[in-house]
Amino acid sequence: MQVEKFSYDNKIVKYFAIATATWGIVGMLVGLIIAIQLYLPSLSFNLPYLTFGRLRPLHTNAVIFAFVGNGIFMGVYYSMQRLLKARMYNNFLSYLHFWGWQLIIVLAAVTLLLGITTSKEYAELEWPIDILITLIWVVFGINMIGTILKRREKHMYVAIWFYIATFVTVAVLHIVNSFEIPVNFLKSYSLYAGVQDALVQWWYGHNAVAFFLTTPYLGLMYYFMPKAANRPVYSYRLSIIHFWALIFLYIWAGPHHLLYSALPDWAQSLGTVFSIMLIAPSWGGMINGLLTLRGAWDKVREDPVLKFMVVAVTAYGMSTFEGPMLSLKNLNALAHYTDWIIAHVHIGALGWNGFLTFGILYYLIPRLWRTELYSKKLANYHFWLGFLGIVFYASSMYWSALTQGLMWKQFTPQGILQYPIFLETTIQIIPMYIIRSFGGLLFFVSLFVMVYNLYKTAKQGSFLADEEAEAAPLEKTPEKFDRKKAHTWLESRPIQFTVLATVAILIGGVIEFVPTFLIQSNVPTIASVKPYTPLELEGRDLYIREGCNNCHSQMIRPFRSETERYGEYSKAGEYVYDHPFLWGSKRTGPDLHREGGKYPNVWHYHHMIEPTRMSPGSIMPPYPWLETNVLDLSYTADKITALRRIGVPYPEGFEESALQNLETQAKEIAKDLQKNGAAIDHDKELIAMIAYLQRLGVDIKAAPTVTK
Amino acid sequence: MYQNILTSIEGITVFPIISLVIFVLFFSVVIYRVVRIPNEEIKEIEKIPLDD
Repeated sequence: MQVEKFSYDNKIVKYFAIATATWGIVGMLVGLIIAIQLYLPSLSFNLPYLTFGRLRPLHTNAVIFAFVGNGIFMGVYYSMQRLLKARMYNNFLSYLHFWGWQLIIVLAAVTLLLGITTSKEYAELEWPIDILITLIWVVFGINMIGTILKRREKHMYVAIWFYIATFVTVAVLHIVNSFEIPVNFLKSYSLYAGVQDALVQWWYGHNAVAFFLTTPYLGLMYYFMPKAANRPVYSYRLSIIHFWALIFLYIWAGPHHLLYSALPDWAQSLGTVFSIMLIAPSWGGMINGLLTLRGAWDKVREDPVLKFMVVAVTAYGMSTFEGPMLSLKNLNALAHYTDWIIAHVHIGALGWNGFLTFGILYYLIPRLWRTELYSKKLANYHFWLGFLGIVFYASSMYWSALTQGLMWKQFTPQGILQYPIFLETTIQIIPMYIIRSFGGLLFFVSLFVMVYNLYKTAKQGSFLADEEAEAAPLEKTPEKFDRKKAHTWLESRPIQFTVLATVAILIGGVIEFVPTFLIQSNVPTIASVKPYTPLELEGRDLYIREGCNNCHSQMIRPFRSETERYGEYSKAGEYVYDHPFLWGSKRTGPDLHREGGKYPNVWHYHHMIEPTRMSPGSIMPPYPWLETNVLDLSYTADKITALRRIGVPYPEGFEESALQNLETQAKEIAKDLQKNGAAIDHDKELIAMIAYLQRLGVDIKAAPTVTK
Repeated sequence: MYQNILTSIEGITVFPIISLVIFVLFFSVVIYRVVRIPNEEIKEIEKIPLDD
């Protein structure tokens, strides 16, 4: 047969490689800063842009979407062309994808620092950026599917399936979780409220981990590990089972992020069951990766690429075992809200994603530049520095989690909390925070060792932008469907394959979701729960802007240790007007769901301006600008209208009197503050923040009657 | 609004059980199919990444 000549586009791979290394440094630098801020809060320099609450989303977004995102595209663009024996479908789309993605990252960094956020974890970006993400993702999808359609290799290798599943599922997740009603160009409210919003968010959040941090990287593992070890994958059959079982099961496990919350029990149990089942495909994948090295383990000692990959796959195995364990209710009761979760995700991010990305970079750069790696020794230094970084990071966080988690739950023999002051438990783990940031520092420094090494490698070689290749074109005669060969038939049918993979992820999604949307019937409405006043609503938006939910939960679990500390446990019916929900996922500070009425206004006044005035030793950053900033009222009426449209029962025409209502309440609070020696005008942001904090969790105290 | 429509679906609590059954069936079919793929075919596919 006539062989066709074509070339692989290496330049796009190079672009993404540079981007992943660059954003890796940025994202981890921000991570290092916030790790230090936890014991040195003055590192926010009294600037709104540098508080933990705003930097933390920047860190997570930068690492997930900028570092790992570009890492995915780097690996996908390299491996896909070679696995399919075809150049990428369209050059313009490749570079549109690249520059569009970088634009999204820059927009994300700017808006998050400005406090423009939806508050939903890993989905903080506001609606115009959400739309841009959707468009660029579609560009990626067209480019990928176009390449698959013009391929010269009949079978789609397993890595390609993981890429297809990633494309389809991330699209579904992103769109469903981003339904929001815009108030203006930079502000929107989630279409969902309270419990429902929480369930959608963690269905998204969990599957973002699954289909952004896991499935594309599994695809990369299935391509680059056999390449690096120069032998086929251990079991191709296992990889088929791995793929289908993983994408089918993952989608169900989201509710394990909400155990013991106000989510209905059946949904929590569903999340746990599927999480446990997930161990099987996850470990199947890990074993398949590690056993690919059978008979080649001596190479692991020599080859830095394999060294990184082995640790990456092992970290994958560890965190996919830990995840299901953490979704058991008894362990979750202790671990949730503590640093355990931070340790868990960093085993994944630093070990699995980080090390696999590094391994791939060490594999790719010498090949793209037609040379040898500049220094194996430096790569080994990188390996050990990074590895030690992970060890310091994780071990200190586990220690911190156990210490604080147990202190929260410790009662005296007389039956009262042994550590009733939350801050006591924080101060106890400060040394662990210091060790953690040391681990982070090691990892951060190791990145520069890699960048230097790769830079030198590139410098000594010459880059090959278009790599010549040749292959016979695909036969056009369609193969007849043979029942015995159903799966291999499917592998050469990209469209049918994509449809089936979509069905597999939708079954889990839909069956979990239908009852989710049903949740209203499961949420006992509480007559005394009323919508927020305009002032409280503005305060709530400030709470979102400052990212308070990154350190404070608003979800008291039904444990005696929590009701003793915070008050009555949280009920689903209390959140029906919360667009978005603000439950939080980590308690760096105490829960705030029953904060209302706990302290006088003047306490909050001093505490927000300088937390250590009221709580010596507090690690919360100061918020002095709230005292001087004038509250922006230009959108108050629009906010009321927008919320009414999505079901919050503000009376018709209320938006017209909203400002008057707001002013009356603000003046009352200002008067109370002035009476207590705090001179502040009623039009300041701090007044709205205090109004919101004082409203938290008080409705239920007014009348305890619950009606189904 | 959609809540009201969905609330009216009778026996919706059986959905999780249905889903489990779907999964087990699906999983069994995948395993059955995978086991039946001829060895030569597997050998051919798993070499794809190695020959470029």
